[in-house]
Amino acid sequence: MPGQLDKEIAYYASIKDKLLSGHQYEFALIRGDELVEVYKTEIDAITAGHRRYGNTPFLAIHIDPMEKPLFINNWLCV
Amino acid sequence: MSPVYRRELYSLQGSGPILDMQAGMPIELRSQLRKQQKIIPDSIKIVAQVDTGASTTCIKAGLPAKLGLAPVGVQMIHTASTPNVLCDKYLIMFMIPSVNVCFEIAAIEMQLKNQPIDCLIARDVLCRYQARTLLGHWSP
Repeated sequence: MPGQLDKEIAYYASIKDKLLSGHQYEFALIRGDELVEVYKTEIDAITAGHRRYGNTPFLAIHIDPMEKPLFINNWLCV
Repeated sequence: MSPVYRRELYSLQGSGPILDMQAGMPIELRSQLRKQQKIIPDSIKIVAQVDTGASTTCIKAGLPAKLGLAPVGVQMIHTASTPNVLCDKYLIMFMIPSVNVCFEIAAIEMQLKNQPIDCLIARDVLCRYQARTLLGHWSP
């Protein structure tokens, strides 16, 4: 359901430049408008989020300067 | 649409690299529910296809809701027909009983319209397990 992470996405956009300066290509764990911590891998960030917040929405996001959309084959008919 | 493949019809040449799998809640959440003495949602049988052309594993829209999972990330995707679609990501535990393989991966939830599969297994899984391991039970 798109929209559950709007707050986290907006907060990430506001701190992205700062994160890029010291944590490029790592994974940020964000909940609401709080940066919880930065992790080396996506699984580590997600597992830490689950430990801390349980089965509730949070954002584990790759700190990537390029942020290229992922191309999906057309046969999936999205 | 329900999966239309049947095991007896599977062949690598005929139907492609199709796998019978189960999707379930990740270990950490299972552990929490167990400690809280709450019911753990049952795993769901799914049909998956291995796609070496895809970089990230995708799951059919609606599957995370059936497993009772909350989103843990987002991914912007781009297709030839629809640019820039923001999709949610979910940590899911996948099991392949036929080859006794179990793993967790952050998968993208997206529409798989008119496709007889529930999941697309991509290179993020293949870099952990060789295709031969996943497809070990297959006939040519």
